[in-house]
Amino acid sequence: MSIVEKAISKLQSARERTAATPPAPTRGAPSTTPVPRLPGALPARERANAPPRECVQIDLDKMRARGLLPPEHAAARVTDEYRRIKWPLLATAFRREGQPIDRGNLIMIASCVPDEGKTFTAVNLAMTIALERDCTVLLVDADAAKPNITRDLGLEGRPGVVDALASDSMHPEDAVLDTSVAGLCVLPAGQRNGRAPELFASHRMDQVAAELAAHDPNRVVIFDSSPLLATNEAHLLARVVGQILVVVRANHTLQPAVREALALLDASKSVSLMLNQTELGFGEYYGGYYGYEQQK
Amino acid sequence: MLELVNVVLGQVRGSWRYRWRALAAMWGVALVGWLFVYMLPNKYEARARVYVDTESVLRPLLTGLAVGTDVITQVNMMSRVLLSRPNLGKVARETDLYLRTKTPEELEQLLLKLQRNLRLEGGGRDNMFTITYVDSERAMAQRVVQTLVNTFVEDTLGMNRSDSSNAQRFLEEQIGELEGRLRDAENRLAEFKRKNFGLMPGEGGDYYKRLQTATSELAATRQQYNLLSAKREELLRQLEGEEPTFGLGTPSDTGAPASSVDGKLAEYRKQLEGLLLQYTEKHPEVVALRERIAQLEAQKEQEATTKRERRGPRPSTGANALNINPVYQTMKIGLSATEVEMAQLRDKMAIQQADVSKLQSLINTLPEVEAQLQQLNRDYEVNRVQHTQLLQRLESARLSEQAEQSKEEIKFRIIEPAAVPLKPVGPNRALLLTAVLFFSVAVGGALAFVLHQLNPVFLSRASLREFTGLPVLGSVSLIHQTADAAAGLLQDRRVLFAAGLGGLMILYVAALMMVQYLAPLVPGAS
Repeated sequence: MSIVEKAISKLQSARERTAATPPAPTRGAPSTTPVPRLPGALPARERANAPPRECVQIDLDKMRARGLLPPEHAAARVTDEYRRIKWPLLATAFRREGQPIDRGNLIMIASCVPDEGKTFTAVNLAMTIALERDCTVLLVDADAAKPNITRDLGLEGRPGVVDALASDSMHPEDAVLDTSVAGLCVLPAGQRNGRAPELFASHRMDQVAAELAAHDPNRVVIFDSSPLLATNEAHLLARVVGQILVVVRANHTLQPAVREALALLDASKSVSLMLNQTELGFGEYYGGYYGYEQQK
Repeated sequence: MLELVNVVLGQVRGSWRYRWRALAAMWGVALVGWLFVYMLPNKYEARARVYVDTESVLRPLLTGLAVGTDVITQVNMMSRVLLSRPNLGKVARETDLYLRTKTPEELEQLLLKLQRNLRLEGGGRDNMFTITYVDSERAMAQRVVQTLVNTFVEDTLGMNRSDSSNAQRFLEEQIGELEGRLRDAENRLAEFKRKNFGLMPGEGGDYYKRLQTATSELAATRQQYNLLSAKREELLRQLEGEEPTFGLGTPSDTGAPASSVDGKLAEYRKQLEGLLLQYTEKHPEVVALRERIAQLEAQKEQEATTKRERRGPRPSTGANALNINPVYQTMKIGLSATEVEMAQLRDKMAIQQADVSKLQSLINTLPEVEAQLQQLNRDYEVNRVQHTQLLQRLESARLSEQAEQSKEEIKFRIIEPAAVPLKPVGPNRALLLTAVLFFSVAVGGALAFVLHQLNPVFLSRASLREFTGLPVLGSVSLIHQTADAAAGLLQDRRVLFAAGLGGLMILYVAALMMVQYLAPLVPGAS
């Protein structure tokens, strides 16, 4: 069993234990979560005295079945690989010295063409960052055309990004939901709106992004987006975030497509790449070293 | 090495993307190819075996050359003789093979093809040759070989005869020419003889002898003349100056010495004439003789004068008396006779002198004429000799031809006539089917590879980094679905692909079987 599952089971058992008592505000609840937080990083929400957030149950098996999470035999490997990817991102997000990137904690997961593994990457990257000791992660489903995360987590109908963009008064934080995974929150896509590209292009987008970034400086926001070349709104989202991670599927995405997609991105942002679904050549896999679980 | 392997693997993986298209191409090419192989017409081989006496056939070709009896040369030369253009043209016409062509160029191509496909093998000590020909029509193949063999038999039978008749014709031509030349030479000779008639050496020996004869005759005549002249003078003297010694006078003393002087003088003069015949004036004998004669003449003069002084003037009446003297008349008659004779001799001398001078004048031309005559004779002789020789050769050629015709010569004999087996010799369909299979696989692979090259992708972090210039944070490896995660066996793409390949192999095996065992169904069999 992976760490994530263990955490979830512990949390569940803790909740069952406190099921008799009226549900205490679960926001934050640092003492019950096995992952401690840094002191002085209290969520702003706590300060603002907002109503308690809803918690979403994440069914890991269902997610595996849908292909959002790797199968069990590959889970350890995939987690390791995403670990390698996340640290440069986190380093850029929480850069203390030198020139900090504006909204560096907003990371957009982009791709050039559909079916490159953006959603998979977003989910798994979020899960991996949720293991972090020093920060939390918010997974935003900003793919207005195909809101896979919203659908797979069963969050259709809930207010989300698009609603926050459509209304001038709604706070995006109001739509944020906690999950059964410690350290992971999720913001659904919201209602389907035909004018989503225009909403993404508006000033409100910038405001929403700023709010999300400022709410908790120790929180990384991961945006799952639509393909850059297939839709219009992706590169508009890219304008308001701080980091962009472009997922390229090996042996699938054509080189000219990558060139075109990168041309759409702003050069001032921190753009990095990731190669997905690579096949190992001879002598390239250094083997599973050993698992981090307790030896059975 | 490792990098090379990885590069190759990468290319294979990249091309694998287009495997379905490759499979489709493979199927298409294989089907078309197999259908084509199926449609190929069968080829049948006709063969005939012949016995050829290569030596007699090749003899006219090999005359003058060192006779190489190794089999390969023999076969080559036989091929050239058998498969010469006129022969092949004849074969094409008689077998209606030329009906397959429409233009002269096609006919040329056909003849070339015939030359290539008609094969001659064998040779060696037993002189047995095998002629083979391959064609898609059984009957045609057999006809071609049979016609070729027949043509050759006909040709060789007539070949020798025409050869020797050629030789004879040649000889006859030569002889005719020579006869012409002989006739010319004879004409020339006759012409020459006619022109130089009288100068021919036939009468009286050659030139120098004739000149000598003429000169000696002339000398003799002159001598005679001189004698007569002397006689005349003596007669005159006796008639005029001297006392008539017969009947009237007494023989005077001076008469005897006078007659002795005269006699001596006459003698000397005769001698002188004789000498002059042989020698010139400068000869010492001649000179001496002349002196003596001069002396004698002087003496005679002296005596005559003294005698005349002693005698005194003669009475003229003596003359009349003399005239009616019968002796005197006889002497007078003698004198006139002598003068007549002398005149005759003078004429004769003139004629002979003319002869001599004529001969002398011809001193230049006569030898030339004789030389020319000799040359003409020689020419004629040479031509005649040659003519005789050629006649002899012609005779011998005629004889040899008759001799050969009488002998029975076996030049060419058919051992096995042209036969065609029912089973075709080609094409090798099994081989072709396999070749088509490999070719289709190659085409499929090539197509996939080309498509991969035309649509480049990223296979490694390094290539992505190089291409974009941006940092590549990492890579996530492909997760292979386990077997039970598949929705169903038929849905599994890999199984489908394997089935596609397998189907191709099954079809190949089926085609092989069909070709092997269902031969009658194959088109072109007749």
